[in-house]
Amino acid sequence: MKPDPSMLPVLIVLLPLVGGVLAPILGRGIFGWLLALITTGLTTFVCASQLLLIQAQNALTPGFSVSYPLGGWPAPHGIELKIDLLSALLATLVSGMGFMVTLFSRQGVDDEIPSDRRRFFWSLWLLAITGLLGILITGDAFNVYVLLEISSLTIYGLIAMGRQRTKQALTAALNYLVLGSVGASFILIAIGLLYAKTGTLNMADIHAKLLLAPVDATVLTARAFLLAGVGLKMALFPLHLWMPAAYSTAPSAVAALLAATATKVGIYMGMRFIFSVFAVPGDEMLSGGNVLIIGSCCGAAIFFGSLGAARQPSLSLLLAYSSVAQIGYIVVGMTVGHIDAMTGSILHMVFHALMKGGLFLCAGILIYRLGTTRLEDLAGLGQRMPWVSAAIVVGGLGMIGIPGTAGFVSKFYLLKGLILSGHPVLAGMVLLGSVLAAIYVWRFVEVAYLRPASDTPLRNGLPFEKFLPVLILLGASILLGIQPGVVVDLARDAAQQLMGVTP
Amino acid sequence: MISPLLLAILIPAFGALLAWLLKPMRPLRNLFNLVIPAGLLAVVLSILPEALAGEEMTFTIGELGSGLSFALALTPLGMIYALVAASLWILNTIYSYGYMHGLYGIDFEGQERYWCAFAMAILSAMGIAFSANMLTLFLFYEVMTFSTWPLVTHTRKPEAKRSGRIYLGILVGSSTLFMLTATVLTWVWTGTLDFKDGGILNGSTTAGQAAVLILLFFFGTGKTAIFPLHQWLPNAMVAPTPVSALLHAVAVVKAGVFTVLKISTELVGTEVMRGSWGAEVVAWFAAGTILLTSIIALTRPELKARLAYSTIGQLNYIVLGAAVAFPMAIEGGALHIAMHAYGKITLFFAAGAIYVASHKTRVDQLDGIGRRMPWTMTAFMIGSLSTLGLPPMGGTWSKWLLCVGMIEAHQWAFLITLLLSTLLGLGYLLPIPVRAFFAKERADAGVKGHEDHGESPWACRIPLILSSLACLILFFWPGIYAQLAKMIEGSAS
Amino acid sequence: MSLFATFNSIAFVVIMMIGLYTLIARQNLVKKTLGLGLFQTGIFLMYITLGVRDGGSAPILQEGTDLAYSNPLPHVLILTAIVVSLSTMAVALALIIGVREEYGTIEADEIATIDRAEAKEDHEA
Repeated sequence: MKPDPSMLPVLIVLLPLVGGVLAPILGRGIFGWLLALITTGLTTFVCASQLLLIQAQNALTPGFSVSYPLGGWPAPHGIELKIDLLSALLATLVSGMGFMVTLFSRQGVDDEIPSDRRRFFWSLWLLAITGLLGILITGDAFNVYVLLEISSLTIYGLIAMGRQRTKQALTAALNYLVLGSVGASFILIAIGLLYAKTGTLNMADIHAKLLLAPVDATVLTARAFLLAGVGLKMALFPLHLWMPAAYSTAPSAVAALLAATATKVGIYMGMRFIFSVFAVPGDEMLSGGNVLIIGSCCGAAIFFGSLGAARQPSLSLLLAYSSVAQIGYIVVGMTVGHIDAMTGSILHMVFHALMKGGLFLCAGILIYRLGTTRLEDLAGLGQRMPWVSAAIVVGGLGMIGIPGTAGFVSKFYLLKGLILSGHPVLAGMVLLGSVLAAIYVWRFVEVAYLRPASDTPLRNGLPFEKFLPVLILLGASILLGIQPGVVVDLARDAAQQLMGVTP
Repeated sequence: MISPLLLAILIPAFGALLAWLLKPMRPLRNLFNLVIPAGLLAVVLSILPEALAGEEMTFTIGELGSGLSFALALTPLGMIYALVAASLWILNTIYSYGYMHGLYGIDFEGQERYWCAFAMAILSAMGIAFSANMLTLFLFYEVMTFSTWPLVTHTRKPEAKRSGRIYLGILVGSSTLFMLTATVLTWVWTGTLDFKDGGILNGSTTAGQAAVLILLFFFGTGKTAIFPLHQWLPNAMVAPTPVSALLHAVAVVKAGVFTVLKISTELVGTEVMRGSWGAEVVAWFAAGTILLTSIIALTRPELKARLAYSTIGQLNYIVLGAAVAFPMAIEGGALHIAMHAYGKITLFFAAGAIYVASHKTRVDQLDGIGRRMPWTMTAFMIGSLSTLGLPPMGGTWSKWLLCVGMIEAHQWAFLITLLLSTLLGLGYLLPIPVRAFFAKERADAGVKGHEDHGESPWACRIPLILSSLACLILFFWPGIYAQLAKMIEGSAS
Repeated sequence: MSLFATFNSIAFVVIMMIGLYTLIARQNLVKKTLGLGLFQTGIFLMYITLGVRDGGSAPILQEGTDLAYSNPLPHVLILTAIVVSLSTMAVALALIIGVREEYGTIEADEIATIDRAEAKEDHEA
């Protein structure tokens, strides 16, 4: 029987959902890990096929997207899965990163999670991925909220599982829970207001109805609530306060997954609502004062995030603050509403996920072998763990965005877009951010290479399957720094589709 | 068949890899350390005929979409730089053995890091030399900055760490804030970044935009050590001397001046340069740097610091030539890349040889040392003369051409600057070899434990003899370098 | 807008604000969580208010009659949201139990003091 590609969209959420439900039952011992590995692997395969299909179709008919009515109820009354290039690209990214981190985390999970909890860990793990993927592919506004809460609730639980290593994981998780729930509630309010205005929950339908009605107070209020909620979820400065503690205390695998995917999905929500739902010609959501406000937030994120990173006592915290800054880059690109900046922004989502994911995996290796990522304990790391140390440097160079790493390519497009759209100050902030990034990356380099080796004992060896994902991710960031053509084209098409620009 | 241009990058990359992997097998590693530079020189020489014939040769490494790419191309100017870097890599490797083994023993600490970073620096030098567009040049420019940092901080002492910070701070800061901005602006304004004879700005930018680009590019190239970006160079002197020689005579600083020459001739275009106030400002800054550093050099008692300030002055000769942008000045600047390299590396080799043999670092300790180290000090003499541009040394030709260029441009002030700095140079450089041979050795000059010393090890001496011979030969047969420089002049006029 | 809807609108804003205030101002983690719950309850009320129609009855379709009835969709949505809110509360309380086990207190300021003291100790060691 020939497989039917029209079933692919629903498989994207169905696979990890089933895996997540099965995990507590079947996931004893090594089986939890195997189940997660197989599930994420299959999901990645499905997402990648879907991406290729859409890309091929998109070449023929620009603006093509796949729609799948759940349960056969057609939109706008039924719930619809709607996948365009951006969704498919990010779904591939999220599931791919999920696979990589799963591959990485067998020993780490054995190390950090008590054995009777592991099957629940893998269940939460797969459900979190389900939620994240669901947000990316759903076409229904209320569904976004529900899936957001599914991913958030599981992630709170996953972070709290870091309590074996440090009890601060509990407070970090609780903090995130409170702020995250407020953020999600804001999104819920925004969706409610939109429903009150348009009487529908299908995003495309809301957009169509908004085009007909004048922008009034209801829509403006919805916009404001949405922006605040999404800002919290994507950890845009000054709403980032939950993030560093959560990333640095979560189990190492969870930190890597979160850093690579969770905030990206938050940004996707922002893009989707701003450009697919609220986009009313002549009265764009991002214009005038809004650009100024969000632009300043991004500038501040880049500046204070990088400075914050330069002052942190541990590598995990350093990486987390670096994420605050990098999110500034991504959001600034989508804010100015220029096709090149948007391309840069989408590229940076992908590349940053690869690089930061790789870096957090390195931090995970450090936790596995040293039990800590405190910079003082990393003295002389260049001699003690030459490979891991070199990998961190490569990832760090990507954070700076030196040419030859993927970080440069996205930054280059971002700069062009910022200049062409008439925002030289923001372009200056992006450049300044690179210099500041050099400062925090070099803090690690000096500790690792110029200090005599510390005597913190090594607890474990370096398993190959732990280093393999690091190698793949950071290798990809170098390869894509030199030969990014394919991804650039994809990102550009996705940006065009999102912004409704015909090439 | 792999493109020779790609090969010129792959060979040092291979060398870097081997330096790392062959760590436990020192003899084999040492063998490869010599074979690989020789291989690189062979590859560079193999494409010399094509370069001289003006043939085109390109290779694309990677596509970035929107017409951007990382690509390599063969040009006469690139050939000069590549040839200098490849030929001096061998000498420097031999010298490194003499110096590092002489001072730190045969199994010195961090050797794999040392050799690996060394090869990476040469890799980036090749990449810069053969870059076909600004993006590629920027790529390798940054690779060079980062790959030489381990060399600067090789001793891992606190002052090395401090210097490393200044080194990276100035070079990364200037290139990211200014050079990258200029690159993006060029792309936005002209739609391309490919180098082309006569420049790519012509017609597509206003005079104001061109001036902004020139200022951003010239002050974004921190490696030229133009005032006020010169501080990194004296600070980087904490590095071992072979590194100083590599950094300050061959790879890093020449990467800077190569970049500005490239920008002047093939990105901005000499015609635009000549008519722009931006270039005027740069030229005055360069001239100021020349005089300033010559005066500072006079006051520095440490030999290496004196050489460092001399280097800054010499580099800005080339920046001045690139900014004035008259054909002769460009030709002189291009030739000066080669001539200054051989002269200055001789001086650094000699300074290092003196240190290895006697542990002396200050100029006033060197009286009468010529009788103990005749080879070294003779070479020092030759190197000094060549650096100052006096016959019968190779440096004469480039300086002569630069002066002619200034006359051609009717820039009398700059002509006087060049002549004045030569005079100052006579004051700070020449007394050293003269006093070494003719003054009486001071009784208290010896460093404790090293009072009675002879010549430096052969591994130190041979490279410096060869490089000083090169200075001499280049006076009588400037040959290839002059031909290549002539070709650049042809395309610049 | 009917009197009912106006009253409701004021009520849900007040409830939300009380919840938000509790969430921000209280140091006791359980009270914070209760504040969060109150805040979300306010939102539920907002949704319910959206669905109301003047003179509408319960949305039960009956053969032959054409009565006005309330919009059932917000009710359905809010059922989901209530479940979500409940789960959030459960997770939060579970976390607070954990906090209590580890720190011996559920006052946010005391926890912060403990964390700071430990970080300082750690730094000195």
